[in-house]
Amino acid sequence: MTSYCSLLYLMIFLPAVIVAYALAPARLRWLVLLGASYAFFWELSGKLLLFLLLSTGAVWLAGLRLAALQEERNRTVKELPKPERKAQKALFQKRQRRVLAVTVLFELGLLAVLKYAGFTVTNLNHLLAAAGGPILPIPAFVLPIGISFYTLQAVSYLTDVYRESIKADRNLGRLALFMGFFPQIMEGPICRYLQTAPALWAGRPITWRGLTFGCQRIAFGLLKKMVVADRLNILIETVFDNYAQYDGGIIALAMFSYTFQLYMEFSGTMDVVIGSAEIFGVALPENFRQPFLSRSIAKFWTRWHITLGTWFKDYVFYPLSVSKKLGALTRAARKRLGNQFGPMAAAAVALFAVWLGNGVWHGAGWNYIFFGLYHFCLIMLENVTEPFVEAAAKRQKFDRNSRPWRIVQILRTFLLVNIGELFFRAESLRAGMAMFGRMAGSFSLAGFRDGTVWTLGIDGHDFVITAIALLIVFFLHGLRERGISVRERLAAWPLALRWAAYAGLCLFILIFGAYGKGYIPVDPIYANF
Amino acid sequence: MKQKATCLLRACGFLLVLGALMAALTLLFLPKNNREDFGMGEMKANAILTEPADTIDVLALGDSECATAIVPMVLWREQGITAYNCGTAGQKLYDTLYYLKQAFENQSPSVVILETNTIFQECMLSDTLYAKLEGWIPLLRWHDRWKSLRSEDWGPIEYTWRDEMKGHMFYLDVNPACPGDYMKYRSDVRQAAKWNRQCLKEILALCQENNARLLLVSTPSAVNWNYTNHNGIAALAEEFGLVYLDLNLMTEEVPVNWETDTKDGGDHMNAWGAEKVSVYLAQYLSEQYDLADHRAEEGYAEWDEALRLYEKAWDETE
Repeated sequence: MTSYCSLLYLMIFLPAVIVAYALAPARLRWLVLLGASYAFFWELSGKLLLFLLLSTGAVWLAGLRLAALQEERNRTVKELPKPERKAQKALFQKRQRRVLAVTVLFELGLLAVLKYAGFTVTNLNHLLAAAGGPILPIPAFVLPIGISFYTLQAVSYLTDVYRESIKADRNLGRLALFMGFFPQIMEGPICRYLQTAPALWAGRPITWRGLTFGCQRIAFGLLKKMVVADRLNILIETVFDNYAQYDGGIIALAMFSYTFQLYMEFSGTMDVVIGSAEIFGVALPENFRQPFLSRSIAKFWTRWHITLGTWFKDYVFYPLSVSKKLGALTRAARKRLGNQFGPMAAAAVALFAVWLGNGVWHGAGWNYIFFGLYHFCLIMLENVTEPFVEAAAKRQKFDRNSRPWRIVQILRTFLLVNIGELFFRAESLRAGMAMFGRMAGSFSLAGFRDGTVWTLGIDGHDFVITAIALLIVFFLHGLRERGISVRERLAAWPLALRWAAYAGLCLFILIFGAYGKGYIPVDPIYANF
Repeated sequence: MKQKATCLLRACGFLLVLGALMAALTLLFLPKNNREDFGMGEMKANAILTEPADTIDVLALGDSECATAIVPMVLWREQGITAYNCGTAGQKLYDTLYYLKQAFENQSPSVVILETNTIFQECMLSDTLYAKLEGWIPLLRWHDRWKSLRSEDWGPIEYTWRDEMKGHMFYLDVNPACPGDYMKYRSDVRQAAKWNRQCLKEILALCQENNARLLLVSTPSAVNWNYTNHNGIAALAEEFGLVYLDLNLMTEEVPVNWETDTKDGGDHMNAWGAEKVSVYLAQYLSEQYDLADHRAEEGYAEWDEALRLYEKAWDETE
């Protein structure tokens, strides 16, 4: 079982879990899901399951400790006279903060050691070599599957308990299921405790609607993954692995192809994941909302990998923004730069931390750090120029909401996103720079004229079917953007029409999917992060 | 309860409709010829489809080791044995099963040679499962044919492409090897993957069902073979009651010269190495199995012509 789109998952594992879940009494259904989740984890990571158990245990214990402190504080404070309450609360706050800090450090520390030790030591060796020092052995650890995702869930759960926006879960089984639920363990979405834990525990019966809607969602995901992402794989690998052989035009083609591949692979997998959970009556949060219709980079990140963006907003940006030090910085900046740019400068510090974290989270490599900081710069640029652009538009009586301007903004955002993804996919930052240099510095369409484009592993038929699949997906996205639920509409169609649509979708995937001999499906991209 | 029954009926109804559509599409997508422009892959192995019915007595299967080392034309020249080589590059055992099933539809070979390197080809559960699915739903195998559909696809099947080498991959390249003592005795045993063992069982059952005897042969390969592999296959042969010939150990019968008889540094046999292997196999098959000598028989003139073309192919060395 290599991915959620694999034959083993879709034809054996998921159906077996559905049957076991349906046959189990309601009070034991959570146990079926937990057993299936650990079996899934074991299949992918074997003994590294221990790390998930360790994280779950630590978070559970820390949650209980926080709850105990909160109860103790409430009892103590109630008995105290009013003037003394504040000091007592502060004392408890400090103790809670210590529990939170230790546990979060433990969770992030595990992630940091396993994921970043090799990268850190490699860079340290560069410095040591320059200084004539000894070279350290580079550690190489095997990552447990989904560690980047369940660690963020662990941090969010604990922080929410600390903030008292949720109550600590005394039920280890429920918390374990929240941490390790098999459809989302590998690539997210990064869920909050209240979004999934109660539904996972409830053991709702499998309904006809849940089953059919879930299967439809899975099929739509397979269309994205198998028809587009897997088909483009060979072209992308060929160009990115041998970029020095290709001119700027071909590199641009690979860049656009990669952005489409990444979106189709990740959002397609999310469809399979969300569809799988839907069958069990669990509504996972959406991770994508028509991102290519964004008019700015800031808006793009509210539509792309939404659960990661909101996690950084809630657990990095927000705490930093309200911290005392940043508050002082804001006041100082306001004095020097005025009311408009002062707060912006202070917010930049929090934003910088968010984007550095975002880049680092994606992987241990300079290209990922560059990717994060690239978006930081673009968002800052948008923030700084926005007042001037607004003022200029007012002066010129230019309608910024006119359709042509919206299209220009969408295309501009799309291009900037693609450049970011070029660095994201490149083998290294240096390779990314070289590819960008070839594209921007010596752009040429010679590769399209001399037939190089036909040597990249995919032919004219492939390009046509990719374009058709993209049009279908983006047409459906367009409908969703207008608030039209295609699945609900379909469900209201007469039976014959509905079956024709479903059968058409199945046959489209079966015929035009890039699977079988001659194709190498793309590995789950986000599972590696 | 009634609602549940309705849902179940609807699901079955939908699956039936989908199945019918897939069956109809399968009829359209099946290649109507074994030519490349009709979307048929592995041309040489699939050229067995054009051999007249029940004319092949020996069928060789396996990966590229098999395709390069066993020459049907030598078996014909030496003993009048009609053989076909369905070896393909990187053939997995589930592919072998597919070619075997395909061959048995039109041929009734009495000996099936399985080159053993394929038994150690990596094979995962998902691969085996997919191969099974391809067997049940042929549309999965031929789905990519939408790229090569043509007007003839609406008509009947008519295979026309023949391979005068009868599936053998003929190479005159010489790249010497220094194999050392690659067959030095060792007692450890390489185990075949679980799913390969399962496949081997199915291959054996299919052979028995079709009254064919399965013969395991390890052709000489200094790169791919060693004593550990030998032990693994010997153990399998014993377990399944099969005859096993390891030509890597039979240096007198098959005197491979690693300076001249390999095309790629000891990995595969070239034309000279394949001659040695096939001359021995012809003699062995003729002695051990009751195989007819068809050379004087009517209706086999095409084999003499194929032999002439095979010998002509050697002219390039002159």
